[in-house]
Amino acid sequence: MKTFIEQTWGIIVKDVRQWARDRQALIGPMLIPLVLMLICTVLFGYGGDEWNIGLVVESQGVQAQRFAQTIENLSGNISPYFRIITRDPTEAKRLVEEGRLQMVITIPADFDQRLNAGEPPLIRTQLFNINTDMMKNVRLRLERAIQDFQVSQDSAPVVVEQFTTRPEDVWRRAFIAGGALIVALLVGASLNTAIMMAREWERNTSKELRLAPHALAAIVTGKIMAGLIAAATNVGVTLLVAVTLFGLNIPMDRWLPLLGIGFAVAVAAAGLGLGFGAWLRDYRTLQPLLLVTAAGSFFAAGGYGSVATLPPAVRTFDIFWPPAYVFEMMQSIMHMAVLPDLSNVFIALPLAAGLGVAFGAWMVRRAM
Amino acid sequence: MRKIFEPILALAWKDWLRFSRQPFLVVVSVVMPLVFIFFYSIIVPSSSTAPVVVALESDAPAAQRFLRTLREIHSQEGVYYEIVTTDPKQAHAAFDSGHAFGLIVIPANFETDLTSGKARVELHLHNINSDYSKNLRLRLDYAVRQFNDSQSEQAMQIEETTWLPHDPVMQDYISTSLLLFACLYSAMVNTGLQVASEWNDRTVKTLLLAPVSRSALIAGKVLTGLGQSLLSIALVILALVLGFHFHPIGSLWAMAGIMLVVMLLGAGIGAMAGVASKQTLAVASMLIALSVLIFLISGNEDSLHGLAWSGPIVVMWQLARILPTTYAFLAARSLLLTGDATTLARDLVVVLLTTVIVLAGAASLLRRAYSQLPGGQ
Repeated sequence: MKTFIEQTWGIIVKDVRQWARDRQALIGPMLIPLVLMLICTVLFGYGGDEWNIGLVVESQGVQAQRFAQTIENLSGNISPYFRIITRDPTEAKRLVEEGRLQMVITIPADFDQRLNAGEPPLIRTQLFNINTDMMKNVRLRLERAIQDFQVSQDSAPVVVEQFTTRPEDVWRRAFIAGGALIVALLVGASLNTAIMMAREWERNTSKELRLAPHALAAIVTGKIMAGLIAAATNVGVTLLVAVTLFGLNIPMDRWLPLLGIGFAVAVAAAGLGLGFGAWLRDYRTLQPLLLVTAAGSFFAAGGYGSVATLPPAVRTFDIFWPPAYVFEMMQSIMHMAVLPDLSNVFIALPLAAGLGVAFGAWMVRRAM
Repeated sequence: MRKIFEPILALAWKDWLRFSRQPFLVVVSVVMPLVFIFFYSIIVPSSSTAPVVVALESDAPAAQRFLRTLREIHSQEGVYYEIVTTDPKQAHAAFDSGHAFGLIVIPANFETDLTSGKARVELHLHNINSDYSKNLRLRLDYAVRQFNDSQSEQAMQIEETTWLPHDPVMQDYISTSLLLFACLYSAMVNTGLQVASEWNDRTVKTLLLAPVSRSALIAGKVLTGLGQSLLSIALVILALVLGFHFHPIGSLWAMAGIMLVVMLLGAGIGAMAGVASKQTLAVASMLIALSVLIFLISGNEDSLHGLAWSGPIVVMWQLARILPTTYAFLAARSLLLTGDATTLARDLVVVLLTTVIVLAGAASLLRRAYSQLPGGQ
C-alpha cells in the first residue's frame, strides 16, 4: 500500500510539474472553451435582442406617430427588439445599401388617412438581405410590432399571454457560458490526461514506466489525478470568465450537485483520455481528435442550445451521444427554475466513471 | 528549373510517405474538418424551425384553424414550428418534465372567446435561453397576426425592397464559410504539423544542412500540407453538396481558384506557426483554436457589419476587418453566393498579398531557426 501511495504521488507530482512547465501544451485545452464562449456570445447575442434599424416616419399623423412609438418601445423578455440608428431617410438609405443596417422601415405619409378610411396602410421596408436567418429575425420583429399596434387599437381578435418558469430569462450569453464551462470540464480532463500519457512516448520515458515494478494501478491513479488537477484549473479559469464577463449566475443550492456531477464526469473523461493517450501516443492525433470533438459537441449536444430545441435528426443522434447527457444535465442544474430530478444520476454517473477508468486502465496495460 | 523543383518535390514525397505510414493520423487529418462541419451544421436548421408542444384543448373549427396556422407559418427555409404533439396531456407532461422548453395552449373556450373578439393563446416557456424564448414568442405573434388577418380585414401591408432578388438561404451561406474553414483548417494544421514535426522528430538539422534554400524547404512543406489536405477537402465538398444541397452560383473554376488561394494562405500561416513554435503539441492546439476563431470571426464579418453599433461586437467587427482571412470569406461569398463583385478585386488582392507575406515570413523564420537549434540537434 505504501509503495502504491508513493508511486501514485510520484506520478502526480511529475505530471503536474510537466504540465505547469509546458505552457504551450497547457494553453490548448484552456483556449477552446474560452474561444467558444467569447466568440459565440459576442456573435450570437451578447447585447440581447436588439436589432439596429432605420426608422423613417413620413407622416405627422397621430396613428403614424403611435405606430412609430410601438416600434421604438417594442421589447422582448430581456431587452428592446429594435434600436433606431437613424431617422434620416438619406442616411438610412445609405446605411442599408452598405449593409450597415439590415432594415429601414418607412411609415408613409398617408398612414393615418388609409387607416381612417378602413384600408390597410402600406409600410415600406428596405432590406439588406444577407441571409435568411437575419432576415427572419428582423421581419418577425416588424410583424410583432404590427401585432402589438393592433392590440393597442383593440382590433386584435386573438392575443398572446406569456408565462415563464423563471422570473427573468437566462441571457443567451450566460447559457453559452455554461456550455463552454462544460467543454472546459470535458476537454480539461480528457485532453490533459491524454497528453500526460502520450508524453511518455513523445519524450521517450515510457520505458522507465514499463520497468517500474507493479506500477499499473499507480500509473492509472496518478495520471487520472494529475489530469483532474489540470482540469480543475481549466474549469476554474473558464468559470471566472463566465461569471465575471458573461453573467453566468449559478444559484447557491446548485453548486453541490454540480460539483458532484462534475467530478464524476471529469473522472470518466480523464479515464477515456488516459485510454486514448495510451492507444494513440501521438499529440498530433490526440489533439485534433479531442479538441474538435469537444468543440463540435458544444454545438450539437446542448452547449449552444438545449437538445430539446434542436432538429429531430440531431435529437435522435444525441440519444446515442454521451456528452449530450452531460451538457443537458449540467445546463439544467445551472439554469432551470426548479432543480431537475437527479435520481438517475446516482447510478449512471458512477457507472460512467468506472467504465472510463476501466477503459483507461485496460489501454495502459496493453500499451505497457 | 529542375534544380528548384527537385528538392521541393523530394521533401513533399518524403513527408507524404511518412504521413501515409501513420494510418490513424491520416484518418484524423481527413475526418476532423468533417466532424466539425457535421456538428456545426446542426445549428443551421435549429434557427429556422423550433420544436414546440401544443396543448390543443378544443376541437372547435376555430381552434383547428389556429393549429393549422401554427403548422403552416414558414420562412424560405422551412416551417417555423415543429409541432411535436398536440395532445394536451402529453404536451403538459413534456413541458413539466423539461423535455420541451415551449408549450402553446389553445384553450377550450378559444372559439367562444373568438366570437366576442377576446380570444387568447398561452405561451409557456422554460426561459433558460433568451434566444429560444424570443424565437418561440415572435413566431407565435406572427401566427396570431396571420390568424387575425384571416379573421378580419388585414391590419397593414408590407412592401419590401431587397438588395438581392432572393435571400441567400442559410445553408448556402454557412456552406460557403464551412468550405473555406475546411481549406484553412486542413492547410494550416497539416502544414504546421509537418513543419514542427522536423523538430519533434529531431530531423530538422539534416533538413537545414541540405544545400537548398529556405524558401524551397517552405515550398516543400506547403506542398506537403496542400497534398495532405486534398482528400479531406474533397470529402467536405461532397458532404456540403450531398448533405446540405450546397449549390454555388459561380463557376467551378471560381470555386477552385478561391479554394486554392485560401489553402495557400492557410499553409503559409501553418508553416509560420510551425517554425515559430517548433512543437507539435503547441502547434496543433494553437492552429485548431485559430482556425475555429477565424471561421467564427472572419466567416461572419458580413453579419457583424449590420450588428456592430455598440458593445463588444464593435471590437469584434473591427478585428474581423483587420484580419486578412476575412477578405477570403468575403471574396468567396461574392463568387459563390451573392454574385455581387463590388469589392471582389480588393478582397482578392488582400488575400494574395497576405499569402505572399506569410510565406516569406515562414522562410525568414526558418532562416533564423538555423541558429536556434536546441541541444542535441
